[in-house]
Amino acid sequence: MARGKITPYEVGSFSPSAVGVSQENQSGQIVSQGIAAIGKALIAREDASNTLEAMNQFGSFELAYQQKKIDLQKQYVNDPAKYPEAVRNAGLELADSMSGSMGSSSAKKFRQMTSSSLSQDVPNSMKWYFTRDSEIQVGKITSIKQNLALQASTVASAKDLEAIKVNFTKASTEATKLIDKESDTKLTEQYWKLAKTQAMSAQVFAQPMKLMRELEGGTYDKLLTPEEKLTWKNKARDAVYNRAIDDQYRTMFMAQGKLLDFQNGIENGTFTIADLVNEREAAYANRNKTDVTGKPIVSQEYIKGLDNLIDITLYAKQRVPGVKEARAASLKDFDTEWDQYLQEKKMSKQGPSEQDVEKELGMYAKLSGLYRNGDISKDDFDRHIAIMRTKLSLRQGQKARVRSFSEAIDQAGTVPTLWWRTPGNDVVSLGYQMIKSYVDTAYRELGTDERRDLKAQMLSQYHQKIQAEPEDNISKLATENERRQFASERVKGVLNEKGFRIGGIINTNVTYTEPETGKVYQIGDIGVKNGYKVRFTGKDPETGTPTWKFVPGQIVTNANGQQGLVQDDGSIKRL
Amino acid sequence: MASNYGKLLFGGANIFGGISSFMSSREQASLLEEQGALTKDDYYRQAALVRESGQRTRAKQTMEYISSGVEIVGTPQLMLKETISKSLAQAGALEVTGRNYERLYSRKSRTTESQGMSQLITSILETGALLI
Repeated sequence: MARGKITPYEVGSFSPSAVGVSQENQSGQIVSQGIAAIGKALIAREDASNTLEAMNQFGSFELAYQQKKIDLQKQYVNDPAKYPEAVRNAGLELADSMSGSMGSSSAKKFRQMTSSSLSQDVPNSMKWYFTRDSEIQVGKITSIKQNLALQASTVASAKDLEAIKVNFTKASTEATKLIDKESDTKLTEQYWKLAKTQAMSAQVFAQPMKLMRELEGGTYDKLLTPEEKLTWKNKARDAVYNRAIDDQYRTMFMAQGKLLDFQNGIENGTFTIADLVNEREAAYANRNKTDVTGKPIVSQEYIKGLDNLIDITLYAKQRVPGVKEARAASLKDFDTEWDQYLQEKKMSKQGPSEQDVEKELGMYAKLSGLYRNGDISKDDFDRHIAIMRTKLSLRQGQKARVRSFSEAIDQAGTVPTLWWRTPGNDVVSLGYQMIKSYVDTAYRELGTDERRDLKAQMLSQYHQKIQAEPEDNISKLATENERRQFASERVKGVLNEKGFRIGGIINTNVTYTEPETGKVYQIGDIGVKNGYKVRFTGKDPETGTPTWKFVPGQIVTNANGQQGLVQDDGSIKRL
Repeated sequence: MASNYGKLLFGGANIFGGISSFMSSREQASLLEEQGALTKDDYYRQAALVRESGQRTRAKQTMEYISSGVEIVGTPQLMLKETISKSLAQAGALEVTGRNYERLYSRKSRTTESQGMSQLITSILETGALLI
């Protein structure tokens, strides 16, 4: 160390007091995150709970609101303009009422839902209002037009109908202020068509002749289409001809439903007056017969109905001028022939003879033919038969020179001997005997006079058959057996190749032999056809086919599958 | 039911994570405390050396003055006093720094431990939120 030199003290580096700061303590933030999470969860839970409560209440609100709407629709059905406001107020009141018991948050959500729902429903309310209002207007207009159409039922002329058409036009002018033109046009077309139908129907009913002439004269040209004119002209013409018939038919149908088939048959041409007469005679001949239950197989009403139908049909036919004249001529011819017959007997000073039977049966057949053809009425027929029975002399007190008709019938088939009459064995007598024997056997329940009439019908038919037979066919019959066989074929018919009897006066009139079983049916007998019980009512005189009626009390089904119950009068009541 | 199992599993994992964070933070806090104490000790040792160095320098200066025949009064005396005061100041500064480091690490330790606890609490809260 150098002398006089002092070692200085060397100060080291400065040691700072500031050593930095600690990192930020984020405990609070970290814990706050957790608290926030649980708070958020609690909020979400409460929110979900509130939403659930609000939705639950909203469901109840919707139900109550819809019911309220229905009630209000009923209340304002005739005043729909007030409906939208009423339904909105009702909705708000309902929402207020239902939210009262809810917590504030739930209530808030509920009100949000109801407000939205009510707002969305406003168009529906308005739509109901417009629709209902339109319905009311259309209803009013429809009512007006219906009334116009109904007024048409009082129309008595084309002028009246034209006035109604003008009213339709006026109504349309007013209507188009309330409803659209298309709807009005549709209504007008519908009810104008109805009005025309009403008007024309009324006139067809009230004054068909006048209507027919006006239609032909062009009075309705501006009101009806050509097709309508043709239709109504035909209806008017039919009404002119059938009016009287229709009235009587209507009355008759109410009492005698089973005659409907005959009436329809007469109308459509499948039945003739001869069918009706045959049916009537067959029914009349069997009126005292009873079935197994003891009930009459033919009701008196049925016979009366047939008589009515015959009368109506004859009446209609005889209204035709040609037929009317033919009727008069036929009756005049008959009277002339009868008088001539009596006159000849008188002039020739002949007494009653065997030829009387032939003559009188011939005239009976002619009279019967006129009746069956509808040329004369039943009254005409009965009156002239009565004449044949009683008009034996030309003057009162004069001795009868002809055999009475009744006597002729009773003696038919017999020939006189020295002391009494014996059965003849000629063709005519044998046939007469067969017929009389059959009627006496089969119709024991009838009185003498009625059996005599029935015999007269059949005898006259046989008489006609013999008259129509060529002379050679009869003259060649040498033996009685041949003649009996000849007569039997015409009276009882012949067996065909299938083994059942066809033709013959007896068969044609009153019996039917079933080909499958060989069973012989008389009128009123019950059999089974297609699974149903049926009663034999006779035969078609033209075709020979049997006619049947359902036995009452059973359910029958037609080809279309419709079922009906057979009534006591034979009609079928649809089920 | 499957959804509830999922929540429970998720919640369990979350809490486990929270516990792990808490344990880790406590360990970390302990290390920081230890680090703070060691740093303070280092500074204190350095301060003791500085103080000792000041004493030696003063003794040397005293010898040098005496050997030079200088009486220790007046300036030499002032100089010796200055040497001692400087060394003491420097040693004091080092001790202050050491203490400050100890406090700093202590605070870091508490923060770390606190955050670990917060993580644990948060994991429990989050699990609770999940299960609500």
